[in-house]
Amino acid sequence: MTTLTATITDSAVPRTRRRSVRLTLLGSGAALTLALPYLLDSYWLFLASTLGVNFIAAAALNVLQGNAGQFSLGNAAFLAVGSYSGAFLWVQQGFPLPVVFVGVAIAGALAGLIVGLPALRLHGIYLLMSSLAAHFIVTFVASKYQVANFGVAGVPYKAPGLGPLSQDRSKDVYYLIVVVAAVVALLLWNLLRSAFGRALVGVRDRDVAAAACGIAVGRTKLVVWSITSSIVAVAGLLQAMSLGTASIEFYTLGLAISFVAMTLIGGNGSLLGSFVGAIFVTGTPEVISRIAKASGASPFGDSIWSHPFELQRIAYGAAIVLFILLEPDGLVGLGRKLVRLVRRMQRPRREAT
Amino acid sequence: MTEFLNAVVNGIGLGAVYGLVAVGIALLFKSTGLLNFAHGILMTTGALMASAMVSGGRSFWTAAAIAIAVTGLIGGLIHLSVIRPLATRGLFAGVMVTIGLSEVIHGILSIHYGPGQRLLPPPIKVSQIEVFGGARISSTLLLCGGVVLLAVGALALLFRFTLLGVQLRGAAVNPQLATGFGANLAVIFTIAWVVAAALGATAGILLGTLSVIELTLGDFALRAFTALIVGGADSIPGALVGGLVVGVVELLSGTYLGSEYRVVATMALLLVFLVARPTGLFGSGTLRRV
Amino acid sequence: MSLLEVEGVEVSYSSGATALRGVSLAVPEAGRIAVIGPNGAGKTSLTRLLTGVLRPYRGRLVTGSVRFDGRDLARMSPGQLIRAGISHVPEGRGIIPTLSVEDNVRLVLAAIPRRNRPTLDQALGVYPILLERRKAMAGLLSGGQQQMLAIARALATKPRLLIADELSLGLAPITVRDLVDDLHRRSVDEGTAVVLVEQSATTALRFSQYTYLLDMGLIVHEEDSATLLESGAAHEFFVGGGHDLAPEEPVGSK
Repeated sequence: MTTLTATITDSAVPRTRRRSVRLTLLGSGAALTLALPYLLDSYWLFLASTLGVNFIAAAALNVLQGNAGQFSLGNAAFLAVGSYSGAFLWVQQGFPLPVVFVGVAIAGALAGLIVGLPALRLHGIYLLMSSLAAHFIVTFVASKYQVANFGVAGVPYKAPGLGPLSQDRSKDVYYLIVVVAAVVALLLWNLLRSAFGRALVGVRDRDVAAAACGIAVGRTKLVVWSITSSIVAVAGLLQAMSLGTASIEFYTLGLAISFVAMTLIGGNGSLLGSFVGAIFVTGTPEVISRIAKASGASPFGDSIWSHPFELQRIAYGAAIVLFILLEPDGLVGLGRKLVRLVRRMQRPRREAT
Repeated sequence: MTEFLNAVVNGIGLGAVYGLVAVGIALLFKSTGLLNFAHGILMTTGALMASAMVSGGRSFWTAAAIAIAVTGLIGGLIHLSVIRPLATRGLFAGVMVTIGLSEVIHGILSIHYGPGQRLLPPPIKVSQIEVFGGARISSTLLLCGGVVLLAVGALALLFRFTLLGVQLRGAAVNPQLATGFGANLAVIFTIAWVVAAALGATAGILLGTLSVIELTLGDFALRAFTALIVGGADSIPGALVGGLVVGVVELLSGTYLGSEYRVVATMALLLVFLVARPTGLFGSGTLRRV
Repeated sequence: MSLLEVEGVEVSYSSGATALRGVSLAVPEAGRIAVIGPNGAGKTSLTRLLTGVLRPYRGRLVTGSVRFDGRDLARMSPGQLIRAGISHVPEGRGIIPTLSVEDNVRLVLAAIPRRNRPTLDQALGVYPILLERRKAMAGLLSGGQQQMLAIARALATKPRLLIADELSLGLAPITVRDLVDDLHRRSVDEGTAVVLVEQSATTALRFSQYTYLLDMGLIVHEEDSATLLESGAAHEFFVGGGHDLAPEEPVGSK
């Protein structure tokens, strides 16, 4: 295993060899991802779909927070924007799927623009509070819409139906998510490496200096908010398709906080970090509920495992606290440090100064 | 007309509660620069503790005193254990930690006390008092008004006239400078946290006597953020005024728009102030940029 | 033995930057010393070291010793240093703009034990204008008045050693001259040792008895001020010098 990591990370190994190893890994990963629905049962496939959705949202959030330095508790609200505009466009109006996706993306972008307007003048804590206000206002509007058109039970989302490519519901949703995730990842990857990406870092680190360099700080902030909330809205739509329903009780502040945890745990500002964070947030409820079942605790019992939902909450909260205190760059940051340690141990003669 | 007056008078009463909550948050913001998202959960902790003790047989006042003291200590512990280590990392890290901490404590409280609702008896026997114009207000709300006025007064005196107050005010603007002139931040900030947490527990207990105690009690604190911003985040008297405004707005919107509009109305008010006047009505607007 | 003895101090920050690379200097009892250097020379790090505030700025003393009256300074907190008799006028005045003039002074009074504590009137009385404008918000004062406030605050603790960091920054030359003359007079009358840490050579040279030239974290020259002034070597140092190396502001402090 060490030789494999060394091969990927060690700069002494010739570049072409490194690249071919990396491509092989990427290729096998992609193949595995595509083959997954045939390897897993529907429950695990659902988990994989959830992971995909979480990754998409986390990637967007990471750009917002890690690269542009704008902090938000509005994630649940944007997810709701996605699922409820989807409810209108798809469930109610019956537009074809591509149109629905575009419509949801636009709705998300508009919402992001509006929420991002205070970002032009506010910083840090004030921005956090305005995203808090946005959360309540958006969820309120969504709940009014839901009750008026669908009742208290929620919006029923039927299977997406991919036409001739269609198989069954969970497979269809899964592939949809994979495609969107790949597109989003590519989009964000390129964005961060472009001039725009550098402008983002400027906006994050030194507002005033960035403006002096001719970067349109205001416009950059708004663009970031629009793009990222647009992506989160699409994630919300996919999530509703995966769950089969959109219901206002789902979009809580706790949900928004779990997304913040996701970016912190994975590692601010990196796509890999978003993936790692998504694994944590998708996996934790699973692990907890399995342990709870295994321990035989009844839901009304006295043991600590009778309260899986609360344990989940504690897990997210504790993760936020611990990572901020100990490793603000998240698991990815931790991983990088480990890799450096391994390299140093392997080649003491080539110690980096 | 009575309906309007009722809404306003009770709004002021509710506003006194909001004011007390906001004052606790403002205290910390004014002295440490930190916006404490865990204030709500500290309120809930105080209320639950007091309620459990009352069920266990203690008198209301004893239970309240103990709960307030213990919650104050918890506040001090929180500062020393997880906030202080972040001193050089910037304020935002501290805010995020309070968010995470809030979730952790929420989960612990939920497991320990269970999800059900609890009650606290009203502290004063005569429950309703009639005020001018035929409106009626609960005696507990009056008590709350008294408590918040006392708190605002005491804190104003503390900040203006004591050396501790000067150190806190200085440390909020420039902690390194304050340290350079002899302020022991570990000590003074811990004191600020203990007092703020105790105020939170007081607010939680009073709120608990007005309605039921459940784990969502802390959501009240989120709406108190509006009071904080309206008043001006670093003004203690401003927090009280902001609280009154929020209380009145909430009840008026409840009366004229419908009770489901109460929360969102306060949030809209928050947004309006954040965009139009982030320093609030009385804030000085020169705190550290976070 | 000197009042203050700095020997071979090396100061670095958590960002990795090394600000002082082995600096030694001495301040005699009631002496007047100047430390002159360009931007980035390490002046502020030296001041922070001497006034106990390296840690809040994420700096630390790697090696070397600092002794004040024979006592080891490095382990003392700012409060202890103030009580021991070291006082400072920070770079940029170091006043809290939203506090009133008198509150800015009260900030330091808190560090002095009650029996030694001067009254507010005494502390402000050092400069009459401060008594006049005692309730005004410090941020509204002119640059010169703010500097007076900073000096008054430092003098309030009846120090044996006063360290002034970049007194001249942002002030009109005539204001600087008046302030420095006043400091000179006080130093002579009360026996207070003064260290002027400056970018501007002329003022410091005229004020002090002995001068150290600091550049890139090292003392590159030291001499009697009078001789240095005559020889003009200091000016050469400045015209040619000025290396921007170790940042004095640690990364991430903003």
